[in-house]
Amino acid sequence: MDLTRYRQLYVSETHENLEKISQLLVELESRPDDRRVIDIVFRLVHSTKGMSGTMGYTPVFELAHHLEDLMDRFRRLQVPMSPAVIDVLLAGVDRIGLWLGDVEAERLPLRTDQAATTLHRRIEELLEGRLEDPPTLAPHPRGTTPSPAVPGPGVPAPGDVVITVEMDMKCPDPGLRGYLLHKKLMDLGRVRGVVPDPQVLRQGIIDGPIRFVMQSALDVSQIEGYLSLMPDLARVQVRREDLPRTERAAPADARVSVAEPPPEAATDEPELVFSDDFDVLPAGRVEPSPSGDRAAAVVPALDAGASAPGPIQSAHEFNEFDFEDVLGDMEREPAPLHAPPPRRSPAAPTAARPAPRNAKTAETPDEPDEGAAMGEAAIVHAPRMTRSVRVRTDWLDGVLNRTGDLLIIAQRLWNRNQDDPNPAMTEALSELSRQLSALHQDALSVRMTPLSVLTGRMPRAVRDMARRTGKRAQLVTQGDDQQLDRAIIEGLDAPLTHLLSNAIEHGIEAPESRERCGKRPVGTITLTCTRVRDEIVIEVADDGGGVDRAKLAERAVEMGLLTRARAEALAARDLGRLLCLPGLTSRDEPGEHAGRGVGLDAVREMVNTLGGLLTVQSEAGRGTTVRLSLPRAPGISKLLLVEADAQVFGLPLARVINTEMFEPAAGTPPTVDHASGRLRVHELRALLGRPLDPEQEEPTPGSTFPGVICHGDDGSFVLRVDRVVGQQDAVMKPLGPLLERIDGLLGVTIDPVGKPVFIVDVACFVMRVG
Amino acid sequence: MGFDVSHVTEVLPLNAVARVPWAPCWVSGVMNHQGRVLTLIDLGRFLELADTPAPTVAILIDRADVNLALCVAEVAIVEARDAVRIGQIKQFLPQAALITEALSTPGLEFQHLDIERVLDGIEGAF
Repeated sequence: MDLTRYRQLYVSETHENLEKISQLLVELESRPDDRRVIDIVFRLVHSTKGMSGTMGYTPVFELAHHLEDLMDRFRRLQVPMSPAVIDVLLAGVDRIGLWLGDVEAERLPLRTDQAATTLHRRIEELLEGRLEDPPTLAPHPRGTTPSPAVPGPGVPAPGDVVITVEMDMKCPDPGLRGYLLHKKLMDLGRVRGVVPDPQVLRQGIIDGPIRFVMQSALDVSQIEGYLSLMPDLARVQVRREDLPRTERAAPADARVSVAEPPPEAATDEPELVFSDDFDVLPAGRVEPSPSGDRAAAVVPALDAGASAPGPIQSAHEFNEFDFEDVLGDMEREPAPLHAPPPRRSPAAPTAARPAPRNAKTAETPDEPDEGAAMGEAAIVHAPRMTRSVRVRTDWLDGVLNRTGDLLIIAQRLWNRNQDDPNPAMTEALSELSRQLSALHQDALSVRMTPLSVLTGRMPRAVRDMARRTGKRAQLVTQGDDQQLDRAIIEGLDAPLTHLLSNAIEHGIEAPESRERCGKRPVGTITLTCTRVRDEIVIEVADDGGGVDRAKLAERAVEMGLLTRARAEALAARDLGRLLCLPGLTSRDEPGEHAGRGVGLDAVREMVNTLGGLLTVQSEAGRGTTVRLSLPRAPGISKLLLVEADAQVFGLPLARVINTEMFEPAAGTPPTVDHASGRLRVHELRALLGRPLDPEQEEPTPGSTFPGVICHGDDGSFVLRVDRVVGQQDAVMKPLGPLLERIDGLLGVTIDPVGKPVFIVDVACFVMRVG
Repeated sequence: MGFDVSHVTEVLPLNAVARVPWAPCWVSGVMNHQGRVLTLIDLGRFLELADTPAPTVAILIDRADVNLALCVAEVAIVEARDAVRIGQIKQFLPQAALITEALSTPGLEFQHLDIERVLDGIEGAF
């Protein structure tokens, strides 16, 4: 079967898993005994392992498997994780991330390397308790293990169903069929353990019976009936472990309490391989047992019928579609595997009563449903409907471009109609424009992504950087559920990472220094995202020592970047510009990630490219705040259209302060006197390399010219134009691979007559024309 | 000049061309064609040919992801099977390395361009 078509999906899903794992591991460092987080991480690692195994990426599978073992140890022993263990887990995540890069670049087959081998060895050492901490990590002799919340995954507990199956060894791929049987059994309840390992079966290896231990609400006879419909099974034995009397009322698939060690399990049982997929477990309500035992009795989830026994409705033969099912898990959003429960009706007593596995405990009835007990319920293979689909981002780009083109064409038709207006055509074109605008808005909306996709992995970055620099820092994010266009999100990745590293390297002080200043030893970096009209404002603020303006100005002078007067003026009034001087750093020695004098200027350039602005505020002893003001969506830009040398250009409205007629002041360079002070004048004609003739430039008394006051990185200035055309919401089109190499062009749009109009980065323009 | 027609997608009249700020002098401008913004390259200028007439048509080139058109004064299509090799390549051309051979067809002599190298040169020069 060709798995390559699932490759991109695998990469995407695994990337997401790794990001979540990283994020949660960093959380674990501050709350090392948070069982909920440990469970989630375990599940994610388990899922990564499963997908990698299915895709045949053996090195990833093996490492994930090993990481899962390590997680499982902590999960079962219920001991806190030490930072050293988290380091190893994070290193594992990083190594898998590298392999994912190989998968993406189709550098296959994947190869293991020395780093991976070392990692495996470290995991092994941790598992054996040789590396660190250890008493908690050391393996316990059987029977002396601190009591886990539930019996070992493969050890049958009272109420568990034990299924022993002999495959028909004459059928093709009996091992693989055994693996698929395992998947099928997961529809009947929670499979707690399988011998041999399902992954071994998946590889077609089988040399004897397969043994499943599972929790299921179905009767033994029903399970037998289900299995009897399965082909290729030579022999089937199903039995249920006896229940203590007080627990018989509880369905076997309910979650078990965490309070008390379970009854001693038979110790002669071979250790089974954990293989359940417990995120589809029905939620169970835990109540103390009537006997007062600390071991809790469990009441059924949501609706006793939810997983109650009933006639088997479907069991289909294994075929290639079963493989699709396996892979399908990767394609689907987490969704209930069973259909939603239909409302019961007396008129339909035999209606299927599917089991919502994620049932809410609040709705849990105290007693099992009578009908369910009568066997009315049925297991159905629910339609695997999802409410969302994954779409390649380049397709979204294509849809946006196409709708933008349609808008432009509609505008051209409108203009053409204005030459000789036809009322019917006018009405139709109005409606067309409205519909296309709505469609374009929809196309923009589906590209919107919460900033959290970026910030989610930043706690890890902060943690790593802080550890490397011997500092202590925490990241607080606020408002990262704000939705931004994916182009903005992608463009923000590097700038935000750099700002965080700057905050740690330059801003946050060493713990002892902070304590001497009366601060907490742990520095705080706050990343805040707020929406202000059509803009998104992102602030990265640290509570560190702030920028030493005098030292920075002195360094700029020493490096010959500025005159002393200019440096001091900038340090006082425009710290952002001073900090963004290429090559300038206040550090005596560069750090690993910051302090090399490259960075903030590049950050500013990237932000400018996104149509945004960067400003900096800093207070000695209190910290520094870098503020990025960005358009929320780049698809449509608010532009001021101006004309120079018979060509129209667009200026981002965010950069425009005002338009006026100006009277030139005498002298060079050209300036004008304005209420805000004397402003430097730049000619837009210089864009095309054709400035005005010097004679024309010579001001004559009373002569005026149209100009635009713009925000520049070095303060305001006037852009002299031939004509101000007006404001417009323009559909931005990408420049393409050739033109995007020209600094100073932000994009292009098409005017109503079909002529391209360039959108100019005025800050870059000023830098280029000097 | 001539090149293999298999690289050509379409031949278009130049219309509503916008000049490109800060672009090399051999970039004629950009033009909208069915929603695509084509970058127009003045082939004569790129090849540094002297006294070439002003371009009137754009030859849209089939090149992945690059909306690029070569602008020339006139276009003629000739049958390759009618072409015969003649003489030497005109070495005095500044960009002679981009020319593979000199060919002749009835009524027309031309230099055959290595169009892949021309396009690589254009992309590299941006």
